[in-house]
Amino acid sequence: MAEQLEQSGNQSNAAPHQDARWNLVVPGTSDSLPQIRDLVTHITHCVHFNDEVSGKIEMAVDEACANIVEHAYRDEQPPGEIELRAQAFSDRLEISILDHAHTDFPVDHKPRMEIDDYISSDQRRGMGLFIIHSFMDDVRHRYVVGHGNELLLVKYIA
Amino acid sequence: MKELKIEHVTSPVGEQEVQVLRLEGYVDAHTFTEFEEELTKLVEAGHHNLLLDLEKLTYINSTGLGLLMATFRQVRQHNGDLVIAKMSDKITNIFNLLGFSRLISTYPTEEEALQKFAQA
Repeated sequence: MAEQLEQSGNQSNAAPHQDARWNLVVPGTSDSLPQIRDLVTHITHCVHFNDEVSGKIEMAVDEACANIVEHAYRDEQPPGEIELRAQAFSDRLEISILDHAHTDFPVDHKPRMEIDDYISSDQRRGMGLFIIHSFMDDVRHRYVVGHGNELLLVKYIA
Repeated sequence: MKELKIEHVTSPVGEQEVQVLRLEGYVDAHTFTEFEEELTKLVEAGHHNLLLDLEKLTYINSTGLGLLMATFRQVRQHNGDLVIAKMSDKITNIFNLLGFSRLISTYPTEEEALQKFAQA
């Protein structure tokens, strides 16, 4: 199993864990999701986000990675890898999620349902994109032919 | 810890029966199907009074929450209810942020949740 976790950075600055970086590469399968969530929780605690914000970031990343497993890699056997790169800055945490899918999955342009519409509807799915966009401060996607999707999630430190 | 463990017990409340599901682990894209099958099996068997004890649930994703909402609507159509007991602070935050707490009742203990059915 291709799997890799690295952590580096100068943690002696005034801002907590400023410049710290984390990197994780896991198979693009659903059983990798707990490992991804564990790392995100570790990172958000290192950056001193409170429990509410930590929970939001964990859920946004989990939803984004589940989308890769269920959509971007849906027709690819075996599925490729998911790479998570995180970096703490003085004012924000940036998390990039990369896949090697041959499908452009533009999370930032997909229509998403508002939560009140969802609650009053009979749908069981469709809330993931709402969560990604509403729980993070900035969401940017790009697709590079030959490389795959890269989703950048940003959360500012209050 | 097991990925998702679901313990099912039946609690009599007055002349009714409440199906109590105690979840341990997490509901995500990997374990969702197990959770869905358990809830679907109960509702299709005609059980419309459901109590979910989430004390040992560490995470639930949007699809799991969507299933809760769909099941809530289903049992309400049959004059039943779906309530939640002992939800962690972390899941409570998400539940509140998404507005689910406007519809689904939550209680600090199983006993208090069961009382809800006794009063119905």
